[in-house]
Amino acid sequence: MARDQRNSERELDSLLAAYRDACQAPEATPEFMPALWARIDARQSSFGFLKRWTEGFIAAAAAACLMAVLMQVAPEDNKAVVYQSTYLEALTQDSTPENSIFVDVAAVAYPDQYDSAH
Amino acid sequence: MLVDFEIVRKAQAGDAGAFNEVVTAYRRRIMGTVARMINRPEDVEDVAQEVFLRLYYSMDQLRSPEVFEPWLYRLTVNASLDYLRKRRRRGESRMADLSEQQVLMADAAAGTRFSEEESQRAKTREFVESLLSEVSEGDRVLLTLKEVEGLSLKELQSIYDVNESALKVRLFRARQRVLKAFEKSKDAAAKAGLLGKAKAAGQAGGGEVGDED
Repeated sequence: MARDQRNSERELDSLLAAYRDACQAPEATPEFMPALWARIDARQSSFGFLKRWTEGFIAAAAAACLMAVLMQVAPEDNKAVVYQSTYLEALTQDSTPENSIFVDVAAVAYPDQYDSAH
Repeated sequence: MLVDFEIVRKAQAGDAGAFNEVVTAYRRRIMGTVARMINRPEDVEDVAQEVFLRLYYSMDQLRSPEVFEPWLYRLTVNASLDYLRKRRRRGESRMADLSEQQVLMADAAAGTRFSEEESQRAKTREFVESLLSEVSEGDRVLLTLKEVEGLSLKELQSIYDVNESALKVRLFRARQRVLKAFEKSKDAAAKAGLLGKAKAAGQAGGGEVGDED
């Protein structure tokens, strides 16, 4: 049994070696090189298009990022009002009748601050 | 190496003349390998061009010219496997799938006149190809690379990206499957007079392929 197996293996090896000899490499046609270079050029031009498109996209994205950063950094005119005076100063300056009661209460509760505000 | 390392270096640097030299030197070998792998003569040139196209665009990835040949082999195998996958997806038939009558008609249409020697070679090719068509495509490609192309285990390892023991197991199993198919069709081979002549051819060709590892 093992001998049969060895024989078969030897025969298969010989057959594969004969097959290798029987398979002659096919000759290339004269068109091989021109066709190859045509394919290389075609790929190159499609790569070129893709590259240009990608570069354009990246440039646009970079410009958008830059603009967003500038918008964050640039000073805005309509910023929220920042009060420079104290609460009491603001209260005394605001002389509407509704506020007068608070001014009176403040004058009693914090006389020092009220005097300095006036 | 069929070309000097210097030529490979120049081709890597973008020298078109050097690249042409590389293509001219390896064209025949690559076409032979592709022919044995895809088993479809009319598409060999197309797949070989694809190999060189991939070579052109990946030259800069080659670490050193010393590993150029195994690397080119890897590109060849990958391009051939891609072709086979595409063909399988398209569901195309091969000559081996055609009926005997269709094959005869195709031969007649080709109008080829075989000498006795050429007829014997054709028989050998036909027999081995039908034998290899009995196993899976993966087994067929692996065995073709090892037993027919004569690639070493190291080269196969770099192509398949697996370790040596896994590769040996795969090779052993693939070979066992082919051997099984061979034993079934041994009588047909003997009748066609392939076995005795194959043995002689094998001995004349310097012994058995694939024993170098």
